[in-house]
Amino acid sequence: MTQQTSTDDIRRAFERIEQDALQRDAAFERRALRNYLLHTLLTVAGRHDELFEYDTAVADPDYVFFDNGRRVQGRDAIARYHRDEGVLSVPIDQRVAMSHWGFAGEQTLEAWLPDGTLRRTRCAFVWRCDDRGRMTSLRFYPAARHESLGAAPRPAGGATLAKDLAPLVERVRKMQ
Amino acid sequence: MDFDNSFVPATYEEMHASYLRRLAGINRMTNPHRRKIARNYYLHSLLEVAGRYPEIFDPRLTVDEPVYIFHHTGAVFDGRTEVEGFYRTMAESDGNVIYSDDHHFAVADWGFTLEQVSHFYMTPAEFTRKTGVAVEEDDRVYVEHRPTMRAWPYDMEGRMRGETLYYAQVATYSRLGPEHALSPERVKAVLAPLIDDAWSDFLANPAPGAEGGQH
Repeated sequence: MTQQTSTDDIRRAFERIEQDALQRDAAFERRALRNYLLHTLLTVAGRHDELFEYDTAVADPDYVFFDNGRRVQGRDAIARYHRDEGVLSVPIDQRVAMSHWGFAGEQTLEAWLPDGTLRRTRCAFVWRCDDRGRMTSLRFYPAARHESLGAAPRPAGGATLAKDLAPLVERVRKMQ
Repeated sequence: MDFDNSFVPATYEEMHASYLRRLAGINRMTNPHRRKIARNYYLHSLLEVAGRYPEIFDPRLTVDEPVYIFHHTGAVFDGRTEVEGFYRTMAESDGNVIYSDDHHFAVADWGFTLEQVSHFYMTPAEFTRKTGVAVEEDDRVYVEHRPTMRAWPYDMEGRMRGETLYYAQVATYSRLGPEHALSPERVKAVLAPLIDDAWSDFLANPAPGAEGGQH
């Protein structure tokens, strides 16, 4: 039987990314990771109206999904995508490599689907950004095979999860 | 099928120049462990495209039992025997003739990531086998253009532990005249001097372990 992921597990997963950012000496690397982390936190917390409030993306960013070729172009479309998707998707572990254009890495995503099941997927991702670490393109390469973990209630209601993550969002928002 | 008409066909000269540009970027790296990983991958990619895959298993480049994971298909080649079988199959179909561009390379203590567009050169028969689309058996060249992503792990000595690949599920295709063919034999010859230099560089620059690195 698979152990259920709790709100604490989700918060700790994000705190590991926060630590990764804080341990980096290069301001660009710290900023790029901060922007990615804040963007992802806001999507998981369901704070879609704030997605582009904190200087984490350029004016016209995009998402590209290489499993189906779909491209989501622009801030409004990205916010709408998250609002309408109905999937809670959390990177529970990841490792990245940095360069001057941004960073890329591999992660394990746990996704709570609208039908009440939990799915685990390995995924490569790329955060392309400008010289201020702001997303120009977020690119997803999900593995073709998923691990289905069966029926699983969401770790918390949307409001509870958002409340649990709120202090972390504030810390990351202020990260220099 | 609609063919992509925007692809600028690769030449042997451009293929050669593309590797030299990558090498220039590697030589600017300051972290010895990460530079060793990058040099290892540079040599690995040259050997693979030149069809000299047995050299990839040199114990200075690769661990004894590497694991290749193709996440886009779910295929896993676990250990040297299976990985060698994969390369043998690729070489027998001339599938090693690959050109790439739009490189986004990044290296960390644990390994590297690379997003690029890979261009796989194929005969008409290979194109039909891959796509299911019947085409005339003539001397034209078919090229598959596919965004690809790699995240390969390395050990503390900078040896590759395996290949981890994620290919886009959607690709586009070009059909080129026979003058744009890249023959495996000529590619092998063009890349040979680069491989000689890459081996010399690699062996002349033993890196210390990744002190304080995170794997």
